[in-house]
Amino acid sequence: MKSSIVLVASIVACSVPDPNARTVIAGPDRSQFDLVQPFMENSCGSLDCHGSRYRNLKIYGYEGLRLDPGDIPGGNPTSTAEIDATYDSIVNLEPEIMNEVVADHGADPERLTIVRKARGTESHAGGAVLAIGGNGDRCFTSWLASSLDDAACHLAQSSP
Amino acid sequence: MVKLFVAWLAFAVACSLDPVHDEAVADLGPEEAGVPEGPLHRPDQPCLVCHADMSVAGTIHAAPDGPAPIANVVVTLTDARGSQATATTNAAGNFFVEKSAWAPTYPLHATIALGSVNAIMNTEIGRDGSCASCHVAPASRISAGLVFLAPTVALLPDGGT
Repeated sequence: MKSSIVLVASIVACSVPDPNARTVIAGPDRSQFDLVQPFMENSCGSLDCHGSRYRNLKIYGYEGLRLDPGDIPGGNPTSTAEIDATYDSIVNLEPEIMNEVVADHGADPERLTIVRKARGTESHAGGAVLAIGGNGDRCFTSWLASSLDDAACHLAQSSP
Repeated sequence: MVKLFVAWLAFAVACSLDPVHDEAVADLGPEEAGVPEGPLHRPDQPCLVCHADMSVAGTIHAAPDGPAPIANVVVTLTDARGSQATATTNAAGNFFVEKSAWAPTYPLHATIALGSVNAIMNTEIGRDGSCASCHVAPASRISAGLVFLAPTVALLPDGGT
C-alpha cells in the first residue's frame, strides 16, 4: 500500500508542464505605446540598465540598445521595430498577470513586477524611478488601463 | 571542533563565493607588459569590476580621428541629488572618483572638458560607474563606442597631443 502511494506521489511530482501550452497575450494597446516608449527610453533604457541585452526587460531605442545590428546608440532615430521589440519585452515579462491587469482596466497595477520595481516598492537596482502619481507613473499605468494620459506621457519625457 | 571550524573557514576563504565576479575579473585578462598596477593600468577596461572602492572611473580619448587617450581632461559628474564630483584624466586617459570622496545617487550626468573644448553625455548613467561597461570599441548596437572629447583632433589644443 505504502509503495503504491509513493509511486503515485512520484508520478505526480514528475509530471511536466504541457509543452504545447501557450499564453495568448492580450496586452495593452500597441499603438498607444508609441507615447510611452520615449520616457521609458530616457528613464530606463540606458546601456547599463534596461538597454542591456542581459536584462529580462529590454528597452530598445536611439540612446541605448539598438535592434538593427548595423545601428549604434545615438545613430538613427528609434525605429518602429524597436518600439515593437520594447513593447513585446514588457508584455511578455509576466504575460498572465499582464492579461489580468489589462482585463481589470489597470486596477492594482502593482501586481506587475515592472510597476513595483519602477516605483521602488520592490528592490530595484535603479531605485525608485517613478514617483507614484508622477508623470511617468501616470503615463505607464494609464496605458495599462487602456486610457492613455497623453499629457503625462509628454511631460514624462523631461520630468518622469 | 575548533580545528574543524578553522578548516571550514579556510575552505570558504579559498573558494570564491561569487563565480560570476570571478569570471568577470578573469575576462579582463592579464596586466599589459611593462605597465605596473596603478592609476595608469588597464585603460578602457571596466574599472569597478575590481575597484570596489571607486564610485566612477573610466578612460577618455581625444577624438575618433586620433583616438589616443588624453590627459588633463576634467570630468564632472552630477548625481540625482545635484551633488557633484570632478576628476582629471592622467597620462593614460584614466580618471577615477573614490567612494570615500563621493558616493552618488543614481542616475548620474557627465560632462568632460579640456580648456574650451567640452562634451556632454546625452544619456544618463543609470547604475554602473564603470564607463567601459558601455563604452567599448567599436561602437555597435550594444555599445556607444569609446568616450571621445571632441569630434576631431583639429578642435583640440595642440591637436590633442
